[in-house]
Amino acid sequence: MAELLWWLGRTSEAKTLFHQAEELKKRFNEAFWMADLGYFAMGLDAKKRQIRSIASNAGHLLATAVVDGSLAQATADRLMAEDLFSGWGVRTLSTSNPAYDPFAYQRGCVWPAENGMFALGFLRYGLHNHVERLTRAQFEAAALFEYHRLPEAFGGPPRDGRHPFPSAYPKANWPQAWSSAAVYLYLAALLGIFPYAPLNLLFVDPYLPDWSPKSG
Amino acid sequence: MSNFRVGQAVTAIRFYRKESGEPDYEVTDLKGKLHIVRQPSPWSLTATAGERFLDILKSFVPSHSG
Repeated sequence: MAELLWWLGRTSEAKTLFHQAEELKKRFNEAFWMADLGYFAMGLDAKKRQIRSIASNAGHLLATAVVDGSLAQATADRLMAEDLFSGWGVRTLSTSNPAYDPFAYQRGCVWPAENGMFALGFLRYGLHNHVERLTRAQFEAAALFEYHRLPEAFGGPPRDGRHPFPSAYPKANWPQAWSSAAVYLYLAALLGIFPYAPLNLLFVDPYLPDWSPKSG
Repeated sequence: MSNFRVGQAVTAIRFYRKESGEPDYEVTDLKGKLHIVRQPSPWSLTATAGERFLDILKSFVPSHSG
């Protein structure tokens, strides 16, 4: 918002919001970071105590740049650990949580839409290995669905010998707009696209993995 | 990537991997004012100053700027 106000000529308001955002970022990192778990809390309860569930929510923090640079690598690594990353995508809740259910919407299945945001978050911090691993998993999942179409959500069972295909999530919307849009987020992450219209700028920083086609 | 709009400009960019595996891009069409610059994210934890400087230099190659 500060940037928008700046380019609209409302510079005083822009500066105020910018400083407020900096303060919020500092307070957020202090209040939500769980140093012993190397990850962000899901929330704060009514007494401002951390809700220490390990979930996919923190992946969105990377996309918004609210994560302090010193914590970004640990957050990304944790997001892609085995209890969250199923091999097809990041689950909404860790398998180690007592409430985990691979076929529950917010307690263990995989949402392509939010995985797209995670890919952008990894790009933001230059974590190209995670971009590659996540986008590959999602593209490989898409290849196994009819019309190569990612559904609203799919199940969270791990990608292993017993689960060689992404598990269907009952009653998932399919097609679904969020999931359709996720494909463009994966492309943006792989191509390193950052447009900045006010300055007529387009940043690109392609990191094309070895499974993408070569051409001279 | 074609018909990509940034502000009032429209561009088409071909992204590819060279035989060496190195990623690269070619601006195949550009209408309007747009500076296409190869640069890692400003928040990048992995980009070095040298990489950033080289990327800016490479951006001036005609095929990279349209």
